[in-house]
Amino acid sequence: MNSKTITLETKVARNINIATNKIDDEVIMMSLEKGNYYSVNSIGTRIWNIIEQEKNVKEICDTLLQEYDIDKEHCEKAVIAFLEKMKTADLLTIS
Amino acid sequence: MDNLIKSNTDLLNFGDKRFKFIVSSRRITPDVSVMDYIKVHYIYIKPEQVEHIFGSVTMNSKLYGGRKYNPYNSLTESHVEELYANGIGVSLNLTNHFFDKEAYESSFGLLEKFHRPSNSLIITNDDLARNVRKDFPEYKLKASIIKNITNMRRLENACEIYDYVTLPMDLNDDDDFLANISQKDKVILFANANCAYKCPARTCYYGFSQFNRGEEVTSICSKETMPRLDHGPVYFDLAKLAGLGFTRFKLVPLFFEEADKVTKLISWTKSQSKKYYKKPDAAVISCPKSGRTWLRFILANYLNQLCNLNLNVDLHSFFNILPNDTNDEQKGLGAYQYYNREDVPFIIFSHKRNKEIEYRGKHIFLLRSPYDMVVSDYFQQTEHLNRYKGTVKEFIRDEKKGINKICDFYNSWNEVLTGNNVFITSYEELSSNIYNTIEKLLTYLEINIDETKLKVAIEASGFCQMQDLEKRQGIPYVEYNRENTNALRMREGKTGSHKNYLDEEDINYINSIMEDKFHKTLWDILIYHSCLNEKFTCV
Repeated sequence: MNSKTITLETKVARNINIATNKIDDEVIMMSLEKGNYYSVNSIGTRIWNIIEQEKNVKEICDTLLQEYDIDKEHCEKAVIAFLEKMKTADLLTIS
Repeated sequence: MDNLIKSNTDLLNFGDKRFKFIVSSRRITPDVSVMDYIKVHYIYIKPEQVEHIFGSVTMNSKLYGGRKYNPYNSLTESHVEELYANGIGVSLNLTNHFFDKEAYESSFGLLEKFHRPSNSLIITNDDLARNVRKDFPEYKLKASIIKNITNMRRLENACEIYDYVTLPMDLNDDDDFLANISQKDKVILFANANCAYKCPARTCYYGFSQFNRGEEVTSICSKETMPRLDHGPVYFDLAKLAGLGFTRFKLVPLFFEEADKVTKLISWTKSQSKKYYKKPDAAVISCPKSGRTWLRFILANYLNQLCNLNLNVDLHSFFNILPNDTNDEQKGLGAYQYYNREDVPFIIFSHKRNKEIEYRGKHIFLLRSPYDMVVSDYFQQTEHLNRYKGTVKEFIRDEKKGINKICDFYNSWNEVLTGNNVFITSYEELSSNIYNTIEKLLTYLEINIDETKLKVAIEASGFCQMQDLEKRQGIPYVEYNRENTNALRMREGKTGSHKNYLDEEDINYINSIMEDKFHKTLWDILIYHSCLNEKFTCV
C-alpha cells in the first residue's frame, strides 16, 4: 500500500506504531519496529497533528492555507514532498 | 513462562497514565538538557509519568553503587534545576554494599543538598537506610534490586525499613509470587532489563561498590565463569503486571546509541541559537590561583539576592550565575542559566591569555602576589590535580609552570591592563578591605549597590564557610582527597603565606625572572595593588 504515489486525493494518517514526544515546537518520533528516530520542524509538527485522524492531502493543505501565508501551489508541492519522506520512513499509513 | 512483550510496538502501552516511572540517568551528559534526554531515551512514555530520575550527581560519594561512578554521566546542577522545574525528583543511587561512619559523614554535603521530600535514595545497606532515616527524614527510601529480595519474608522486612522496595527483574515472571504480595503499592518492578535479567550472580555490583570506595576491585562480571545465553534487551508486559496490581516501574535506556545521537543533535541545535542571544557584560580575568573562586562566590551570592534568582549558591551552582568563558555545560557558557533575563548581569570568568579570548568589552582584573600564586599553584598541581611530582623549588623554576607561567600570562594582558576600559583589583585588596573593593567593582559594572545584600553576600563567603562547603561538596569534575587540606582549593586563604614554603633563594629567583620578563608598567600596577610587597622586603 505504501508504494503508492501520494496525490491530493491520497488519504494519510499517522502510523500508530510510532512513539512521539514534543521537544519545544518540534515533534521527535521513533519507529518502534525499526528503532530509528526522526524529528520534524514546527510546520511538520502541525501536519503530524492534523493527521492524528485520517485526512486526504487536499484537506491537510486547506488547513495549512488558512494558517500560513503561502500560495496554494507551493503548499501542495511542499506537503506532498514532506509526506513522501514520511512515507519512506514508514511514519504514515496510506489508503 | 515469561512476562515479556512480544513486539516493540507494545511499548506504546507504557504510556498508560496509571504507570509511574523511575528512569535511569546513566546516559546523561553535561551538554544535553535532561528533559530532552528523558523525552528521547524514553520516547515511549510521557514526561509526566516520570516521578524520579535515578543515578549520581556531580558531587562524588563513597556511598554510590550500581555502576562505576563517572561524573561525566552524572546529573549536573543545571539538570537538577531543570528536573525540579518539571516536578521530577532525583533518586540518588547510594547502593554501595559497604557502610561506615567515614563514608557516611563525608557524604553529608551531598545528602544535605538534595534533602527534600520530592527526592529519594536507593539503598542496599540497611545500616545506611536507618541512619539516613534518622538524619535526613525527608528522603523517600527505596530498597535496591541489589538487596536481591527474592522471598516474601525478606520483602516484608524490607517494607518495614524502606518506603519502596525494588524487586529483581526475574521475579517479574513469577505470577504467583507477585499476586501474593500484600503491599503492592510499595513495590517497584523493572519495566525493562538487559543482562541483569537472567544473570545468575550479579557479582558486578559488588565490584562497583569496591571501585566507588577507591578499593581494589575483586568482584567482576560472572559471564566468563558462569556462561549464559545473551537474551539482549527485554521489555516486560506492563499491562499484565498492572493487572496483578503494580503500577510503579523502573526503566533503563536500551535504544541508547541512536538516542544518544539524537539528544546531542538537539542540544547542539539549541546551543547554536542560545550562544548568540546574550553578550557578556564583562569578563573577570585572572591568572590561576588569584582567588577568583572567592570573588565569584561573593558576586554570585550578591546577584542571587539582587536579581531574586532563588538559587542555593554553592561551589557547584555558582557556575549557573557566573560561568567560565569555555563552551562546556559544566562550568562554562552552557551552565549559565539566565540567557533570557536581561536584568541579570552576564559576567564571564577567564584564565585565558589576551590573544586566546574573543571578548572585547569591560574587563575586571584580579591580580595577586606572584609569590603566593606560585605556591598555591604548586599545591594545586601536586595535591589537588595530581599532575606534578616535583618539589616546590623545581616547580618554581619549571619553564612552563611556576613564575614563568605567571609572567607570560600578565605580559599577554599588558595592553589591556594599562588601558582605560578596565577595573583592576587584587586578592590583597579584597583581603584588606573587602566591602569597599566589591563596592567599587559593582560601580564599575554599573550594578546597583544594596548595602544589606552586599554585607550578606560577603558574610556568606568567609573562608571557613567556603572551605567547609568544599570539604562537603568538592569541586565539580575534580576527584581529589577532600580530607587533605593541602588538596583543597580553599587551602589557606591568607596573604603572604608563601613565606612558609619559599626560602630567600626562591624569592630571589622569582624576582630575577620577573625583572627579566615583566613589562615596566606591570611593576607599577602590581605594586599599586599591593601584590609586590615581598619584593621589597626580601631582596
